[in-house]
Amino acid sequence: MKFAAFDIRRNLQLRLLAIGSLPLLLITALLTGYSIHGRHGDILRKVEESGAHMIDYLSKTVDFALYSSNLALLTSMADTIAAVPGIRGVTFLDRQRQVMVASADFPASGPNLDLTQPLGMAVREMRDVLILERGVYAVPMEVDDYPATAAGPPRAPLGWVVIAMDLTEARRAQHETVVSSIGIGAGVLGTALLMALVLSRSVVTPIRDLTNTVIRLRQGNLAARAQTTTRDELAHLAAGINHLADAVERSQLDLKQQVAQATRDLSRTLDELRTKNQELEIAGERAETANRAKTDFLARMSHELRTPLTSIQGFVRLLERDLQNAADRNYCHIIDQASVSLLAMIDDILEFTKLQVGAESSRAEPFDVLECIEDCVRLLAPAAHAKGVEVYLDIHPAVPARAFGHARWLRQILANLVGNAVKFTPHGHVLVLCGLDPAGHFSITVSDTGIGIEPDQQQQIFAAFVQADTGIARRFGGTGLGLAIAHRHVELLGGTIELRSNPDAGSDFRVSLPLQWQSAATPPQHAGQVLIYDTDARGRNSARSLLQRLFDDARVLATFDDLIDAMADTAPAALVINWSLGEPPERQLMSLRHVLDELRCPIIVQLPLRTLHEVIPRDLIDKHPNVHWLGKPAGIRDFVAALTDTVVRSPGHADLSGIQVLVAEDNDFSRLLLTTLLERTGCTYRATPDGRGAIAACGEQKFDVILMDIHMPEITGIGALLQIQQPGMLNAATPVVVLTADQLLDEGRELGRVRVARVLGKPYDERQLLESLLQLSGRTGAPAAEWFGSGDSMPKEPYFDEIEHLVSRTHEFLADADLGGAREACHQLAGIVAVYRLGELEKLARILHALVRVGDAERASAILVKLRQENFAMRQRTCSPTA
Amino acid sequence: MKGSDSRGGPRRQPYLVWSFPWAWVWVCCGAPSLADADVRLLLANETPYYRAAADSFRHHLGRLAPGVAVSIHSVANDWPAEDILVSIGSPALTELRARYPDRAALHLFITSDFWREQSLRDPGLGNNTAVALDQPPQRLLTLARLLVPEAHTLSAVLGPHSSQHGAELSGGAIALGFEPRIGILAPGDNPIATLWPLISASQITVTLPDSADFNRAVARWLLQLSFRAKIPVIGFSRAYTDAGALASVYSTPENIGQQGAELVAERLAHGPFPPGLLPPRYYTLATNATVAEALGIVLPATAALQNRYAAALQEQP
Repeated sequence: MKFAAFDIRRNLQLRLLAIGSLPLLLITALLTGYSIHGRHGDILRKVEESGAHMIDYLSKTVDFALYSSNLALLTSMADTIAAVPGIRGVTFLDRQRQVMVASADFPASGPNLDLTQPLGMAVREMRDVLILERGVYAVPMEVDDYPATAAGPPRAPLGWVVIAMDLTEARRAQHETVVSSIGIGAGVLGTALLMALVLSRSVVTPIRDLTNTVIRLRQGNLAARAQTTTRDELAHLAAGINHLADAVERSQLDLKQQVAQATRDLSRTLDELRTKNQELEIAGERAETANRAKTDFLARMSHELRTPLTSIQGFVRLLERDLQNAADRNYCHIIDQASVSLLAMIDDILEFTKLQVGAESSRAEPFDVLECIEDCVRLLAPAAHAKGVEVYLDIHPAVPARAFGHARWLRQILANLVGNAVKFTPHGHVLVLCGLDPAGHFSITVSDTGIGIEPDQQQQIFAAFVQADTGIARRFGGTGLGLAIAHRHVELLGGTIELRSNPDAGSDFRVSLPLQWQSAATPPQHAGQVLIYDTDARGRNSARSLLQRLFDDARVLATFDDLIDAMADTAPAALVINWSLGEPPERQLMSLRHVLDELRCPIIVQLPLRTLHEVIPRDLIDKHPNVHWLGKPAGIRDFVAALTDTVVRSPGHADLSGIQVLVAEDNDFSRLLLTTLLERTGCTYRATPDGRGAIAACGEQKFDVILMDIHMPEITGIGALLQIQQPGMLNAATPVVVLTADQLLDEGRELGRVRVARVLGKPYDERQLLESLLQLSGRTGAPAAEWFGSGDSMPKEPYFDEIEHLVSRTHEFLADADLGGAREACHQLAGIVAVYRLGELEKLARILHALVRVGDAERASAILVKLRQENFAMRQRTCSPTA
Repeated sequence: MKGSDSRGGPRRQPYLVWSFPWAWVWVCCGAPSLADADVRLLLANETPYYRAAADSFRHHLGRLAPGVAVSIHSVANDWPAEDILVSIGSPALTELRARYPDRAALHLFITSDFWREQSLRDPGLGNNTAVALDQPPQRLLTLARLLVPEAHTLSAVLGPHSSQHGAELSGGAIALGFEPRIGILAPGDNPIATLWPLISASQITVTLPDSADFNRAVARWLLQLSFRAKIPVIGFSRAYTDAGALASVYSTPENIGQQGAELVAERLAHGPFPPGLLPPRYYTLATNATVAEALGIVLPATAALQNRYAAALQEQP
């Protein structure tokens, strides 16, 4: 830093000094040097000139003495000359350059001074003497007035005169010259430097003042001002800076005032915002509370609605079993159907509620598109067939088999659309046409020949609780939520839904869904030709679309004659006969007999299950054990199984033998019920009471299906599934059926974290559970009747003992203010009481469950008392010997 | 030309001593017949003294023979035979002789040495007439006697050309009462060694013109030694007087031109020129007052000196 002051790049004054002094220094040095050199030369030249003059004079005057060899004269002249200041000595040489006379101080002849050699006109400098020589010539004197000839050049010299000029004085003069020159130069330079310093300071000082002023301004001291003591450009600059500083200061002051005002405004705004936020928080809490209340209310109400219905169902079924009178049994059946319908409506309301509150959540996952659609349509087909309405499922061969998306939503969309089509079509057909639109989206068109929709009502058809008209509600019932739910699901999937309908001419619902298609293993291709016989064109197209995925060549035949001709011409790899509802059964049966008797190739008959049970004679089935009878509409798996010679038993006999099932249920009673059910189906199972056990079991063996309860101690079902379904685990891809009593928002979010194939609410429907097992295990057929009927064989005492035990535990948890433990106990209690659906008991258990969840311990304790009483009463009624 | 300048330089005093008698004779004898011949004057070059001589010639010829055309030339041409040819300067003589070897011409402004040398080469030259620049030795001796009457010993150093006048000089010196000491300086001789003994042993030294180189070489030493010896020197030119001689007798270009004009006039009147080398008729005296003062010699006034010199010359045989 201390050298920064001497850094010319940073010091303006140094630069000015350099500008002013360096040239001067250079010039002074040059001039001084030149002066010294010049004066040295002058001094030497003067000596030389003086010597030259002297020797020239001598050379012209000494001719007589030399010529006359007058040594005395020469000596006298030499002494006289030598006495001249500045002359060290003089020597006269004769013609042979021999010394005639030399003055005393003349330098001796030697190596440096060889007088025998002429110097000519040259001057020899020797230390402190300067040697000059001149030839002495006899200069002719013109004495002729009219000379005939001009005087020629002088001839040979008469001799030489050599003088030695003393340079001592010259040297001294030179030295003095140097000293004086340097002194003068130094003085001039010093004076110039001083002047430069003064001038530079006069320039730099104002600039520094200005710089300091600018620095102070830059540091924020806007009151800084430049002082001006001159009237030059710097003064103008200072004035300009001061003016600028004034402007900036004023501007900053204004800015500060504006900022202060803005700050005050902002503070007011912030206070208002804070108040608004508080109000919004309060409103949000209220809305959240209201929403939770609504959700809880709806859930409670759904359960409140469902619980009596399940009781009704349960008792009705009990009655139906016990009643001997057929009419009474019919009455019970009607009551059961009515309760089923009412349950369906409640499910719709619950589903719609989930959508409204955003509780509906589904996780996108890979799924089988064909299976999803086929299962849904096939479930609804029997209802249509019962009315004589044909159901066609035509999936274009270009539709990929697998996609990544929300299978449940797709299934619900189809269920609502196809269900509506079946519902509102008294006769004719329902066609489900699936394909790919030009954008590659999945296109589903559900067409029916039903009652149609009036144009003015089509705009609101997707609104909730809107049916076409009140007459529709009276005739067909329903909540009017189906299309609204389907529409919402389409929106969630990012698709579109359109309606084209004409009254009494049917309706077309077209859905376009942007699914992420995935590659899938293709089913085994069969070589050869498959014949498809169906008198119905739609039936032929549907069958061809499906069978083109399995055969190289699919040939459709519309008439029996065509079939006969085809059988005569070719040897088909297989024959598929579609039973048409539009044809008289007798004729079809006769044709069928003919075909079955004559053909010796794999034959598949696709027909309504109702027709199989009621129209096809048993002897025909027994006569042709290799004919495959598939329920219409059959799926591709059914055809694959049939074509691979899978022995298909009676459609009524499904088979779960060999299926490995894991049951994770913490409640002993529920676990016992499940395992007993599985035993009847013939499948192999492994049961565990907690999540940890489920994780361990899944690590030891591969299961076909996992039945998982959600609420389990330590590790919940969700937690266990998160570990089981980690990539690379043994059962990562094993389908899971979740059993839970809660179907509310929180659990839906939790379920979204794991991969679940089915969610069955408690109380679970045995049929649904078994059908789920069959589907998830890839088994066909319907659950066997003997799989059901657990009521009479179960002891009731353990049931009521388990209920009492859970009530006591709940009471203990509430007494300890352990709401978490109380919730778990209530959850198990709800599951247990739902097994037999014992009306009041189940109702009280549900209420208790809800109260404990919201933390109302006081009211929960009251319900516990009632529950204990009802349990005792129920035990008395059902387990006493007189019941 | 007349008198001396304020700086005390030598006085030049032309005396037309011989002019009137001859002019009178010419007038008395009747005006010559100014023939129709022209006079062709050939100058060697435009040297000022040649021109001065030519101008003087023309002036005087115009006065003596009016009507005679005088043309001045720098190159010789074919001139009519009746024309009178006059050369001024030795180169003009040579050219004229080369062109007109058979014609008699008048040659002015030449030295006796040159005439002699030319005569040896050009035998026909003897028919021509020339006027010498050189003064007869007698005139020098007369001047010496006049200025230093007390001098007994007279010295002179003669060169290769002037040595032929040695006898005349010696005789004339003796006739005037001098003891002559004459030395001959040959080329290569140390002039000082020759001069000093002569000068130091005499009271006056006279000089006779020789070759230009000789004159130059000798003059310096002679004057220096004579000054050392305090001996006056009588020179043969104004330059000698300027260089340090006490006095000199010489002929100016005007003198020569005038004589040439008179000769031409005579020629026109009386016939051909007298052949041979004629001594200069007119002369001029010059003195050096500084030298006289340094030597302690009192010089008479100019006019008086003229008259006395002229009278002295007349007294001599």
